[in-house]
Amino acid sequence: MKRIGIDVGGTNTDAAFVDGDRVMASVKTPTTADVTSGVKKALARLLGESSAARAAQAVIVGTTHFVNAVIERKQLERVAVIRLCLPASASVQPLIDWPAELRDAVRGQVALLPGGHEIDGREIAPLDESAIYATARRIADAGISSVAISSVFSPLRADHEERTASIVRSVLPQARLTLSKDLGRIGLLERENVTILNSALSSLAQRTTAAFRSAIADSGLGAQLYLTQNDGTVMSAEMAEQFPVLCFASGPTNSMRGAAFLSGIDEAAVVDVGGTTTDIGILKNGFPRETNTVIEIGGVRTLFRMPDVISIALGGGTRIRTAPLRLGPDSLGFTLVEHGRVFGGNDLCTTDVAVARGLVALGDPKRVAGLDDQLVLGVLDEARRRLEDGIDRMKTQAGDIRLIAVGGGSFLVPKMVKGVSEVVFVPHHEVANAIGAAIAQISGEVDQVFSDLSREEAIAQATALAQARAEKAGAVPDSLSVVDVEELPLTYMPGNCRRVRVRVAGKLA
Amino acid sequence: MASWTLTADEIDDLADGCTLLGSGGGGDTHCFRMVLRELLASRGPVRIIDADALAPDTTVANLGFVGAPIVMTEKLLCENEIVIAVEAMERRLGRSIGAIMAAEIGGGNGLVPLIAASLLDLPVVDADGMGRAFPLSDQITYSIYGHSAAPTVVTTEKGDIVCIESPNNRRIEQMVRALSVVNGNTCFTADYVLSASDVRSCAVLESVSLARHIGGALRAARATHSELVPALANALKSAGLAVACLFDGKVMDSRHETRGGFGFGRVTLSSLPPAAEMTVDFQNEYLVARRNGIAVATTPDIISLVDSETLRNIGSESVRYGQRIKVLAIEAPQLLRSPAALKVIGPSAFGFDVEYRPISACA
Repeated sequence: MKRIGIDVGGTNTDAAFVDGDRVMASVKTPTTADVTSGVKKALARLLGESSAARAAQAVIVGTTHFVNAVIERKQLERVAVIRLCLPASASVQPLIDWPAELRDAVRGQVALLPGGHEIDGREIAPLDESAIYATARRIADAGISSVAISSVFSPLRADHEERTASIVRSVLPQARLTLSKDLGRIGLLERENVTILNSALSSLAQRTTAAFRSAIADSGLGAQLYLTQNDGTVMSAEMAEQFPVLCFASGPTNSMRGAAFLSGIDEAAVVDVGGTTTDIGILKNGFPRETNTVIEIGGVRTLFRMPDVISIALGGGTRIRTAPLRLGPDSLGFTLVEHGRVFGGNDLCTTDVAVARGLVALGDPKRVAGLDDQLVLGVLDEARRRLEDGIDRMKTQAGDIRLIAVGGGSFLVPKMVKGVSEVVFVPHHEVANAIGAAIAQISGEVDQVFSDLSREEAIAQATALAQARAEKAGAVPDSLSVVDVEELPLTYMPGNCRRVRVRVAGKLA
Repeated sequence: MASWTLTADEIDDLADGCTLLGSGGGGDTHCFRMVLRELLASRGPVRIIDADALAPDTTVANLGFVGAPIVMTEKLLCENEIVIAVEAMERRLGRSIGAIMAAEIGGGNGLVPLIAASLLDLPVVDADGMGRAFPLSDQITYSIYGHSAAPTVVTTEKGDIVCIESPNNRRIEQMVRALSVVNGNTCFTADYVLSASDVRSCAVLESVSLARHIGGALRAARATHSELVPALANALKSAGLAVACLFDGKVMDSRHETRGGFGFGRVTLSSLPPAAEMTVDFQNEYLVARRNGIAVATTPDIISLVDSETLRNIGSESVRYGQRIKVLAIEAPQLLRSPAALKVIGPSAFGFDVEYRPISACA
């Protein structure tokens, strides 16, 4: 199948055209403030390099837009949180375990109200509808239009969240609502955290997916739009628009899959140096090592299954301040090509220093010829120190490992790194992300209630349905494997009922 | 050391140690960590005292949540259930409680007395009644060695207070369990009121210190990328306990159901590549591990499922398909391995048709 993979990062928008197992063309362009024109430009250049790309059946976009918004605390909306729980859970307030800075940026109204369910399906307390109306009106008065609703045991019984949503909607028809039951595993605080993050990103998600759609349409492509999600599989643009949190880890997943694809190496550490951040992860059997434990996004606990990756504030656009010398944590992002010193601007960033040192040829080297040697060495030393520290944190055993360096800023990775046996640089490394997106797997998921079946029969039936869905979506039947099984007995319902969620994934045909 | 104070920096070490000693149960620690952190910041440090340092006339009560661990991840702490339980116990006894301790050091329940101590301005005794976690409230050294659970005070977040008296500790457990079912499979209890000398003679001593020590040792080993199992073995050796790594593999299946106030289930693991299989049965806590059908570790020894690489504990309700897991067995304290104790907390007490074999015999 012919696919175009696009990676929209904070700094660059990359595109690659992949036909079967071959990379036919790839381009790197700056991300633009409006996203659309950057994607359009990338597609135009890609089509210029390979007109065959016009026949692509799918455009698969991976973006770090949403997770960067959380990490940089930018473009986040203030969120009203309604938790249906009282009298339980009163001492553990929503956002209790968030970093203070992020909490201050996101927390709008917070209301703990009577409601939620016991594990056996009984109400902890009946909903207090007048309190919900009053809360909704307070939210409206505060000018907040993004609302996160959580409820105790909502993955088992969603009716309190749904009824609350309909009341909020009647008061605030334009509000964007996220219900925790849709993002949900058992674990109230973590599920609520993800719900609030999703709410904080909801208008950014609408703008971003709309931009992708119009860029594809304007480029004259007839391809279907997909986005890549946390586990490295693709999802529809509609789904991504509603649940931007599901795209959080697509950046690292795509770059690691791309690094494995390009290098042919299945076991190694991967560093992906972007414009804003560097992701460090570990490849096992060609796939990112996943964490078993709770994942934190920007310091917030979630229940996602994600690649075990750490993100450090270091990239090609990382801003440098002098006296005293300080790197980041902010990045020039997509304004690098305008404000970066070698590109004619006045801001100093890591790329300028790398150009001064002759590590990469970009822009006008004369503009950084006069940079103080001490400054240049100081910055590169600090960058090396941060990389070595990050790689060290990811290692689970002593001894040197191979390191694959990818990403547009990989010129910041020295040839010799402490704890690393060999640094591997690969062709197309600067667009590893886009290639990873292009080769993303396709999944099929079933999440439904089965009754009057044994547990094994229910899981088998759900698996068969999920496989059929994946095949219909274009997966190669032989390549499908189960990536997740979750089963919740619904003891409050008659007839041996259980909620079964099965997810399978495999190669795109 | 007669007493020490817990600082905010040590909360994670202590909680990690409690989790590992929980044998997969005892409840999640995350929310308790958060609440404890806020309490230490607003109300100052909490004091932990040796059993030896208790004044002879001190009345000590045991505290803990009872129920299915999964429920505690949805119905979070309310604080009021703790305060009203201790107050009701003092009213019933007609005297004040001078110190509190954990019924079980394992899991979140290991942190509960510290939260209570902060709320009520009481010291915590460096001891507990299980040295780990067990499903039943009478599977505790005090009961095994002849003390009564009565009076037991049961409270809920809804403000319910029930005081139970019975000459039979198992019947008290059954009534507590029934109340927990009424309250959605969780409730809070204050029970086993003991004198200072009772604590010294039949509690598992210095278990709070041990938990903190385990957590600290693992943190230090992670920071230097040292082998984690030997680091754990070293920490346990200070308490005279052994640890064995039974299995390393991938979760192929995890089934669980919540009934009667417990979480029941079985985890099935396969080695990579698939050559051997291990099953681990649990009732809140992991109880019996079988390798290719043959029991290789049983209660009262502590069975812990941990992330293969980080050794982070994975509770019985958090096991998921595909996880890479090591199965560890940690020797139970001597008090739990006597013939009298094995009748109450050995495998046959849970309906398993297998004999207890100490892990030192299996390793």
